[in-house]
Amino acid sequence: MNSSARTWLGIIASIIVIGLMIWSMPLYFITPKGVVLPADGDKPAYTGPVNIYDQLDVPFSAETIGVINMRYHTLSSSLATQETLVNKAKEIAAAAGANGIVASIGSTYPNTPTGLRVMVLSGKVVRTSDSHN
Amino acid sequence: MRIFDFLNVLGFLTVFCAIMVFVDWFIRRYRTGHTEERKFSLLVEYARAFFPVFLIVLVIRSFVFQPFRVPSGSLEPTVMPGDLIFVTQYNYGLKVPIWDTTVIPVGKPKRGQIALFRWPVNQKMTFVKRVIGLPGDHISYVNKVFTINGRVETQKLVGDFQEDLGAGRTQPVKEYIENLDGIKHYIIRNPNIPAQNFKDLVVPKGMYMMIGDNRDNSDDSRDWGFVPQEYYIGRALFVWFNIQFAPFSIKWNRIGTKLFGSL
Repeated sequence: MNSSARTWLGIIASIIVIGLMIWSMPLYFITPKGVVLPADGDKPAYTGPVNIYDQLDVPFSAETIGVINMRYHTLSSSLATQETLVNKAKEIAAAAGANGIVASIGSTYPNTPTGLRVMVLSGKVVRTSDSHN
Repeated sequence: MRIFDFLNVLGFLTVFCAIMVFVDWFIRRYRTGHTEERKFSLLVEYARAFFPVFLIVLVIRSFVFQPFRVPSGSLEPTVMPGDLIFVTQYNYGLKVPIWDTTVIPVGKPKRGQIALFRWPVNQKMTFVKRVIGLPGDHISYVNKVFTINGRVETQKLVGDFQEDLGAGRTQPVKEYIENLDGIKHYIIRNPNIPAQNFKDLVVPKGMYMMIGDNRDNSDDSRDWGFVPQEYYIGRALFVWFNIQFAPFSIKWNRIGTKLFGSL
């Protein structure tokens, strides 16, 4: 078998092996990440729906549970992307004992390197005595 | 998402060269004959030449150390923008490249260590920060001073410091020495930025809290949460060079700066 044939066999074997290696590589999933920084320690988790407020309509009696900061790596600022971020924020807020979020959403692009571009949700999480939509 | 960073691509190149050399050797070994069969193709010749180089670099880069360039000032004044740091790859376990699996668990991150880890927000990116919270810790941050498990991590004012904002810009801040469980290190705080206080944050099991030494200008766990143990890559030990390009500068006095232990 001449050198050319051996080389082609080697290339085919490499493609198969490397293909299998790539297939078996671990998968990483991009999901929103964040934290509630509690104002006064742990609170029991809240199991009901979490509402989104802005500064003007947050109930007067709302108790601040803490500060929420979220980051979501995305190259798109679509409504679907924002919804993903907000849903995750609600999950984290509820785990911290809050039933409301007063926050704003922004982004770090276009001046940021691609790998660091994120949608940002920042604000506070609150507990109200009566919730409304 | 699969990560195709430098180490993984180097791994694939090493495997490719190894297979090319092996297949060529195997066929020649068991099919002796005409002299023509012993000639190597150009590709196999290159594979034979590059394979040992790739393998050595792969082993060193996977299991011994890697260089890492710090792009931002979040660890000022300990690590300055433009610092090239020496990061060991074995402190938090020996990991097989490509599969990123720990085969030999060596140790876990300890409080006060400066560690390199995959950013939980986008695992393709790697960050360098200081470990502040271990699994199960109760952490409070009031008036820019940490209290961990009831112990106040005291700070002592050193004096004024010029924070490097990049592009030749600086801003005046205050420098302190923080005593973090016996590890004394410098931090900077900006008196014009209010504290984002929190009380009794609990670090979940298997997770760590990371913080920048530039307390008021650091994108860290306070912004995106905790880091899982399996995301840790290595520990920063010292600065081996410093270079910035806009504007161009080399800070020769940064070479050899220790990043571990106490002051």
